[in-house]
Amino acid sequence: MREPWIEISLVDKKINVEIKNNNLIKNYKVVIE
Amino acid sequence: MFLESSLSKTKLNCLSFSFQTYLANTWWGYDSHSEWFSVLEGNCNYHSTVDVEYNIALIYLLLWPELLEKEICQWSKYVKKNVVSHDIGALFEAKSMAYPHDMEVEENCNFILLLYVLWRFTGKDELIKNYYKLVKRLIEFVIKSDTTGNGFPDRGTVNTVDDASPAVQFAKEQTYLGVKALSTYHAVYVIAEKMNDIKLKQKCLQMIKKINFTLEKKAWLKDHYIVSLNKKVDNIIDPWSKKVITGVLEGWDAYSIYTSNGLLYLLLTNTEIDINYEKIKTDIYNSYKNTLIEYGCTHTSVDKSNIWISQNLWRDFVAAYLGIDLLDLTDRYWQFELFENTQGRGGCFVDTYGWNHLHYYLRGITSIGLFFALAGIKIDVVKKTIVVSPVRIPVKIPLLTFANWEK
Repeated sequence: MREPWIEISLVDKKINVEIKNNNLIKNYKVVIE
Repeated sequence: MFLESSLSKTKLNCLSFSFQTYLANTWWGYDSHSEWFSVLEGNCNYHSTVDVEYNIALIYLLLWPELLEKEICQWSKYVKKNVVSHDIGALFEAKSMAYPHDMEVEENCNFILLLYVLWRFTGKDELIKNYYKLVKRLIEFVIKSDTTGNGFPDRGTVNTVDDASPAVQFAKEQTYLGVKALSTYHAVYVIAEKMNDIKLKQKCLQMIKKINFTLEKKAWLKDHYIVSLNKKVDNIIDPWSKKVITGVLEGWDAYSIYTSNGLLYLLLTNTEIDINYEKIKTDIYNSYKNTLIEYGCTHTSVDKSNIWISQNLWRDFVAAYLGIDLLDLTDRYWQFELFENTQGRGGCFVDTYGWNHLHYYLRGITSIGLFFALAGIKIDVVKKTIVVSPVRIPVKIPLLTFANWEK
């Protein structure tokens, strides 16, 4: 995989954010609003 | 890769179709000294039209930022009297602007906002340093375009929404342009901060304060921002006939889809700005309700001459960042493309529903912004920050800006 993927879902009524292949953005601060 | 995302089939169709039309308009030239990149404006035939690239630059930010850098470099060579040219030529000539008239304030703002977003998406400080002198000249022009002292530009306000009514196309004190100028002052403020230019920062703050005051006291009408502060046409020059127009400015108080046009790149870069976002949201929602017809929203609630699909998409993206989900309107836009290319006039991506026929038109690739808008992605490479603020869930998208294409 050559790009990060972001997947946002609802799990147990809570927002769940999963980032795949996140080594490409490892120096970044990811904020969920 | 796009198929693996959570974009609906309709959105993917719209994106694929407009991508092919965009590709057919791209030019790559070279000689022994340099490479040359340009995008033709479909059937209009203009090269690298700044206000069109303002919308479609989303594709460069996602896939190939160097192309936007090339365009910015070229545009900087086509500046006349502190005004960015609308385009750099037409068909097989790219020696000077081919469009019949300038679009002074808006193209200056577009250039600066594009430079700003490219900087924040690449982290290349040299962009700011290389173009800083030009940025100062361009923003000085925008400052001087306000001769009444209320912050809103009243000179050089003509745009190229050339199928629209005078209120939308060449009124003097247009709200959308006030908002776009406000966005640009914010961008220049951040740039000036980087360059330690206290004087320019103060100038920008003053203009922001003036525009916000005018937006609050003069441009807001019950539940929306009006199109223009001018109720009457006061010696406006029609850029086409060169004749002076006087009388009532029809649609000055209408609902418009353009109010928030200047805000997307600041939202996309997570740049905090001083503006009443609650009123912007109210304006977007009420203008949507009052301008919607079968294939999308007309310019205003009074000027129902045409629909521009790309401008609808752009408005939808701003709305998404502010928490209003209009992204399924893409179904209507796609139905229009199907109609035009089966029973209608044809021409691959057609941007305009109405009498105008912008076809083989590149601007549909604005739709690639769906990837940003659905998940509310805000990127600031300078600050090494990614903000995720989805307008709906579930959503699954690739962060293409960070792809390693050599892998």
